[in-house]
Amino acid sequence: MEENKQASKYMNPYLAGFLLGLVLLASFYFTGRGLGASGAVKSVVVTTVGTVAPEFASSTLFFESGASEGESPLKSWLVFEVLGVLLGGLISGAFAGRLKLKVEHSPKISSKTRLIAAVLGGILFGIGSQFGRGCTSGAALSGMAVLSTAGFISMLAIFGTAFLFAYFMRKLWI
Amino acid sequence: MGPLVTQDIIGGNWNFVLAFILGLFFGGVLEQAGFSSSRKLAGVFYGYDFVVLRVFFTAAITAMVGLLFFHYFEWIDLSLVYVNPTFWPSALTGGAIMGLGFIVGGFCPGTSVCAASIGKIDAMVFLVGIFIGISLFGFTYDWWVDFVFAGDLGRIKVYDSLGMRQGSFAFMLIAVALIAFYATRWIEKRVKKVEY
Amino acid sequence: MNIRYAFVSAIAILLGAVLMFLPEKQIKIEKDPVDLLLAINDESRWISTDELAHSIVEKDPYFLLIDVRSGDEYQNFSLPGSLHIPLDSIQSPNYLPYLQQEGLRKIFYSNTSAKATQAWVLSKRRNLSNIYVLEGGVNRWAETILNPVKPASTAPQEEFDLYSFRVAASQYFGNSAEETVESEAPKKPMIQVSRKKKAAQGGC
Repeated sequence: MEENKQASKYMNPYLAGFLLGLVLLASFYFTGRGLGASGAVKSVVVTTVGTVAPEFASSTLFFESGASEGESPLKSWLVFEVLGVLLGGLISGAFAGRLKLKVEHSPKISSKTRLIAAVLGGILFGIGSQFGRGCTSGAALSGMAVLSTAGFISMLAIFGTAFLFAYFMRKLWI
Repeated sequence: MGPLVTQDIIGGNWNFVLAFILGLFFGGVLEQAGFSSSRKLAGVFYGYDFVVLRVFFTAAITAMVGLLFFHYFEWIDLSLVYVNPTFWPSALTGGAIMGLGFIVGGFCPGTSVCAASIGKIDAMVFLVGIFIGISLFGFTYDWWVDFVFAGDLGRIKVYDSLGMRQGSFAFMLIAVALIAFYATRWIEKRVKKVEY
Repeated sequence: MNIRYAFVSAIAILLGAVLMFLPEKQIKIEKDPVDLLLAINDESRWISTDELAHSIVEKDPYFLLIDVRSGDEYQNFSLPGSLHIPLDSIQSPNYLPYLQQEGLRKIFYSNTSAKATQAWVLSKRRNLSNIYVLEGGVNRWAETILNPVKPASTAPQEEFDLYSFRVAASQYFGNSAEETVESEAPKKPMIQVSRKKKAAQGGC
């Protein structure tokens, strides 16, 4: 019964999904675009490179695309949205009493292993999101909602590959 | 008729305020759903917790059904809604890389932001990883640029790709999701529980 | 518990069924293939080198020359004031704002008409309007404008008129292909035609 009690602390997943769907729908209705996350990190990257090495940034199409508009790339929709996610998560976590600095990991691995895996996973996700033109939320979720083929390809590719490799990574999780 | 911002019904900077508010709800719902726990997220790949599949599918279907009805009642002009263009080789590759990243890192960018906000150190580290990953991609952009823009199918819709009617596809997707929901409940009951 | 889920499932199925039987409302994002085929057969996309020379000489502000050749070719020789968008990146979103300027005639050119026509078809497919192809490309430009051939003495008067225009134009453009490289006609400022409805930007 222990797990059950713990699980019940979270919202019913279908209700959460329904609410998330409404947020996504509202996003489309008001702003004409879906939700995202990795694009905000890209803005930060573009800003950083633009500040540290401006000549290099203006010579590369990838970094230039953000710098050319005369405004800071940080003044982007996704950056504001992600700031909202940070605060929203914080508020929700505070109400549920889940605020705690910790490294969550399987008992079979050390925190250090978990952190190394997290960095590696982040790097892969960063690279993949640039190829896929968005991450799980921007490409797959928002893409599926507008029925774009790219959204479905991304969704199937993400979850398909994760399933394929799940067996090899099982030590990290169970 | 929506979307409001693109038609200047809501002016420029309000767009950012809206982004922030939408983000608040996005983050709140993710956190409430338990998406701030990487082991809960990874559960979907081992059969002990299908919260990802449930939330993700329910959200996609809710938004899709909503958009289709909004479109039908002419509350929203779907031609002004952003549809991500399909460049299938890079979408497939990117998805595969992200899938590997998911199973290794345990988060996706959105959930990692949410998890970082309640103090998960692994999520913060994951965000640093994303930063590094995007930088790596940026510095080697010249190598990939041709590939990234190859196989352009434009802003194609999935039902056109499959040669189906829009409504039939929507119905099929709902049916698939419901079957998946019931099937995963059945699986979940038979897989050994994992404590996290 | 199960009854509640069954109830919600039933609602979902019902909504899906309604969607299935709702009449289709099509949204067009790309040009209909039949229209595209018809447009390809339409000859109105051609702009002759003479027309182009006229436009440049008269400082017509409402056109934009787009060079779709490779970077080296563009470096070696380009028409005055042209913008360089290689054919393989014509679909790239970075260049879309240039191609979307509705008030401008966008004229693609390459060495012959071939690559420029490809660029034109790709753009037409994306429903971009006001786009043209320079007939005969840079080669025809060199033959007719830069090095005009004097017509035979038996030729009708119109050909002589055309010839004298071409000689004048040739002098205007500096007479030889090599020299025009230096003719740094000021790059046309991008005229942002503000459109009321712009599709939302996305990207994650």
